Amino acid sequence: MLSRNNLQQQQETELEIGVLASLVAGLDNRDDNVLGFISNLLERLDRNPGFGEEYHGAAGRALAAINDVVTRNGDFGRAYKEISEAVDSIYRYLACSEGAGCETPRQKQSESVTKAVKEEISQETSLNSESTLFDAANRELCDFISETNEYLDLAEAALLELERSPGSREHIDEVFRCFHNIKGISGFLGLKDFQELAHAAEDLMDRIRSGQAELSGTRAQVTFDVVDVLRSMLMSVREAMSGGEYRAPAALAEIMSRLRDPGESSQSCACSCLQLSAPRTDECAPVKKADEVLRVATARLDALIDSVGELVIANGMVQQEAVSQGKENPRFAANVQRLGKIVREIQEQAMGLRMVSLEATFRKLARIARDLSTKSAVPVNFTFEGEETELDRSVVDEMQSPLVHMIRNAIDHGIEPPEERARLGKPESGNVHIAASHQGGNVVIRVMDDGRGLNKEKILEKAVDRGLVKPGAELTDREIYELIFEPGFSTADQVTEISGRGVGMDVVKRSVDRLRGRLEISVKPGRGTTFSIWLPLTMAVIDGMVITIANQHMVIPSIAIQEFLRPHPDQIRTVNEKGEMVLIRGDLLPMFRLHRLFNLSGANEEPSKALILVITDGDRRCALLVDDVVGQQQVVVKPIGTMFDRVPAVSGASIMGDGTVALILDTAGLLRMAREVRME
Amino acid sequence: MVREVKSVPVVGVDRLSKYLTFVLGKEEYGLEILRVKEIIGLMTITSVPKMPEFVRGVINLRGKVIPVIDLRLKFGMAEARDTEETCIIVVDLGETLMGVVVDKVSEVLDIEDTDIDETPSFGVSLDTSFILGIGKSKNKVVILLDIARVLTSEAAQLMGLPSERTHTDS
Repeated sequence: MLSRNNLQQQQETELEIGVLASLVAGLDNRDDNVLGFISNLLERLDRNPGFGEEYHGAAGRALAAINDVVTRNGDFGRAYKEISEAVDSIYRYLACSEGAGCETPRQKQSESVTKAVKEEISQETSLNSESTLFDAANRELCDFISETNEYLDLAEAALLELERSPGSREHIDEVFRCFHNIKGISGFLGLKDFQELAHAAEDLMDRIRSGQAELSGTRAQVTFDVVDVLRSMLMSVREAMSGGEYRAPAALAEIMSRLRDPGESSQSCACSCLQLSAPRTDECAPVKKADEVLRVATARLDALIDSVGELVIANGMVQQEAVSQGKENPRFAANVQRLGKIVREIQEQAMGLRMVSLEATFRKLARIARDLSTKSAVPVNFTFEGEETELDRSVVDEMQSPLVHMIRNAIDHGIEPPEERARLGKPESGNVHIAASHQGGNVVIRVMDDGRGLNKEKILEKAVDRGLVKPGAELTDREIYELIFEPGFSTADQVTEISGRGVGMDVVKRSVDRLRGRLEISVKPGRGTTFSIWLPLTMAVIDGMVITIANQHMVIPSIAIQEFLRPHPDQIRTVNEKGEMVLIRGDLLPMFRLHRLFNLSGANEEPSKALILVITDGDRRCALLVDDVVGQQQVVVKPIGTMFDRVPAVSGASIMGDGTVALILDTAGLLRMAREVRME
Repeated sequence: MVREVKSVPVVGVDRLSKYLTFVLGKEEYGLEILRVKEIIGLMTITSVPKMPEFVRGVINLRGKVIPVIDLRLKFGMAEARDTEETCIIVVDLGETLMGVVVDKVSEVLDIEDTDIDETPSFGVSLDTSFILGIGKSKNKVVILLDIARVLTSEAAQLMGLPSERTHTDS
């Protein structure tokens, strides 16, 4: 074993091994400079008597091969193999007990990973007891986790592409590269499990790209499974970092043997596989290289954005003052105006910092759709567009689950089995398409399927069954479809493992409400269903309509306002002496007096002298009575504190130009209250 | 006299602590200066619907929206008209800030722990759990409040949570 008398020497050696491993990891093709370094390191390590015969032999072969390449233009591939072998033998030796040349059992490897993680952390602390170095070790592991995750994402995306266009050299190379890199960075940190699995997967990809094997059927499934197993191993590392134990997942041993099994033929898998779809028009576009990026801690970014928010408010106040001051001092007015323009630019840029594209989300959905279609034996063609559309990070995060729910519903309930589809004259594969686009200051995400379409009768039946609707009640089509948003509602005949537990659509609605968005349903019975989700671009700033009630300002999100009007006295009707309604172009809408809700006195109580705002959340509508509308403006949203969570109709607060606080009204809450009044 | 009655040291050990004293009605109250973020004059308070009476609403504190409590109403006193001397004490509760409306702010007093007496019990009708003790300084008697307890138990009640809270500092 390594001589432990000299701690420094041991540390140096370990450093050299690490450098060697990472050099090898980055070695894509012949680079004489790098090869020079590598042979230098191999020689130095060879001088260490502790590494044993195996390494000595392997190092010798590697050095010879390198020499061959550099001086006689020999086969680089062979040299690479020898070098990898040499590095592997070092690791094998390190993980083993004194020169026994043993085969490391799985458990010992898990132990060695845990040990590696703990050593990584303790090494830093023993060298220097400052806690900042402890953080550095943690950070290294965090970096490893996020880097590996990135490679796994890239590999998965390439694998999905390969299913559409098998044999695409570009994508096979991409997958190879990803596993190769994972092998490298895990080797550098001594995480053996990762290294071995990545190595085996890399080997498989190598066989595929050299034509020795085909990526199809079970082999394709194995590659996806490798991604999954690696992901679960990363979770285990996270646990080890917070003081738990690293445990290799059970699937690891199984998948290692699957990867090694040479008897894999191209037998098609037992279940029906994902149908290959016609290539998209931009199929031939080259795989995008990652843009130049910089890692910034989110906390710093959030702090910056908070400050920008305050800058915007302060600027608003100055602008307001400048209106009166500027009259006497035109130079001042001009300066303030220029300042305002710059502040607006900064605001836009700062908001842009938090924007992420939907690409990662859509790719994840593609993977889920593929897995679901395989599992439920329903062939589904999942496509997406507009993935480059950007949204605020928190909006994208909040929408992950709802979108997954909707895809699940579409595949599990919407798409008919192939025989039924054939009978109906539909293409054998179901189609699920998700599209994102910008529309008038918002982002619209549409989830469409060409399946059965929501079943009106079944929904109504279930709703009556659950007591949500009185039997014999008359509801419009829209209102019937809306019923699926009620908690606990589900029309699945059997609760499948995948969905049908009745928690889907109401969660979606709640998320969309929380984001101050809008959710619409459109159904073509027998032909399919389309869900449209309108989302604001950012949570920090909304486009709002400022209204006044009894000399107090309030803000209603513009996205919710359909129209406003001054009613004629005979447009106002009362129902059962309880609720008021307003007649607008033949439709009776429930009317809500905001001043009553907020207990404000001094408001304009006469509707025909006040203003009515018609608000909607996509499906439901109601009318609000307010004093006046001040105007439309960008409003910075301030959290109002958990203390006010119970308040039904308020979702936040904003600071007006004069420094006062204006409450931001929550349309979903208002509509809910209006509906309760009506349902009585 | 005082030393014979066992004084329970309620804050720290043999310490001199500073308290901000203020007036509510006829009584003088105090709270630990460490909890005080700032004192501001009364400003326009935006009321929030469906809240208990003693929640006056929210204000804009340099870009942050914080809730404001009327301490008189919270203690069940009669409501009073706001005067020129009425102000808002912004209290730091650790995770959040909250404002309390008081009639008048008096001064900052140094009170030694030994000069703080245990709160006499007034029977079951009055909850005195949020009183740290009765402080004596110069000739004044100051009711020292555990302001965190006063405010967080309220917030907790509103959220429907049990009002046991662990305070990070004494």
